[in-house]
Amino acid sequence: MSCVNRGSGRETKGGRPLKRIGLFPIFVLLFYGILYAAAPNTALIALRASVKISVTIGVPLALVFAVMFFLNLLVSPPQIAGLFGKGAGGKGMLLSIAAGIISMGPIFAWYPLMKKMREEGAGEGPIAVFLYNRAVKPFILPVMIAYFGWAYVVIVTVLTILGSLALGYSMTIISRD
Amino acid sequence: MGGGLNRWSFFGASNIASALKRSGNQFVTMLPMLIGVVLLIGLFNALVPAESLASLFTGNAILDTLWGACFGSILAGNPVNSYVIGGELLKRGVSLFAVTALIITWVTVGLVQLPAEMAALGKRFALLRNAICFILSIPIALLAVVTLNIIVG
Repeated sequence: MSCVNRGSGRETKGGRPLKRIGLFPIFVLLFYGILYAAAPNTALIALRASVKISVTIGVPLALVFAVMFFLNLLVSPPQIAGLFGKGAGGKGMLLSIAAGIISMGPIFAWYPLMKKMREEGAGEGPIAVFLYNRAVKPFILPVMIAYFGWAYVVIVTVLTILGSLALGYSMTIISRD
Repeated sequence: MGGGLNRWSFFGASNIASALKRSGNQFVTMLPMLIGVVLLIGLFNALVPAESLASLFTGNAILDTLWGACFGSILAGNPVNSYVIGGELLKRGVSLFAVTALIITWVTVGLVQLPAEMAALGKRFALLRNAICFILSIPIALLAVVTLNIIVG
């Protein structure tokens, strides 16, 4: 059983390689160093605040890893691609919602698959719905809940899914014109 | 009794190891940005007074939502980062309207990856999708907060 999310582990949303991603925390640490030299107390206050934030998100992140593992084991991009196509109507939209939600990795990694699907007859609506529902990520919801609470997360999730349908049908209507 | 064991055997040790490795890679890829964001928020906490933010986010629901949507469209990275930033902005007194718009546009609108999206799916599709997503984020954010206020009180 091929269970993969190819290309999802080495690029970010903008498709930047891992080495460049590593530069960001290095620059931030460099700034800490400069700040420490100029105002040691302020730097320590900043560092303490960072540690406090890290503790808050530690447990949810452990859960994130566990769910990422199971999704990698069970779901692959080609399997998702087989679930929706052009002219699928409401069923295609619903499948696109589900596929968008369970997909993993940066959005950039999914563009080649979306391009292929479009060339093979997938509609603009389902593709837009798929991309929009990447905003709903069950494996990182624990982090969101830790910050904003259950009620807020449920409301935003439901509205995001409904919003994706509005987007999908808008794209379908516009593409017909 | 042995169903569970057979199920794991079906996946195969190599597939499990591969999934574990892939998850590890994805997680490690995500971590530097997250660490950077956490450190940056620490700096933000120490250096930026709440009054400065208050000048950007005025308390006007529509205007704040628009600002939040703009920041979310420009900023990029893992969605977890948007939760961390959003949570910290809330603590700083920024409205939930703005934070919600930021969280929604963080993933649905992306100026950073727009050239790649245009290359893969066409200029018209990419521009139209991002524009509609940006516009949609505003009523969604307003509706989410109003609904939350009605439910929670």
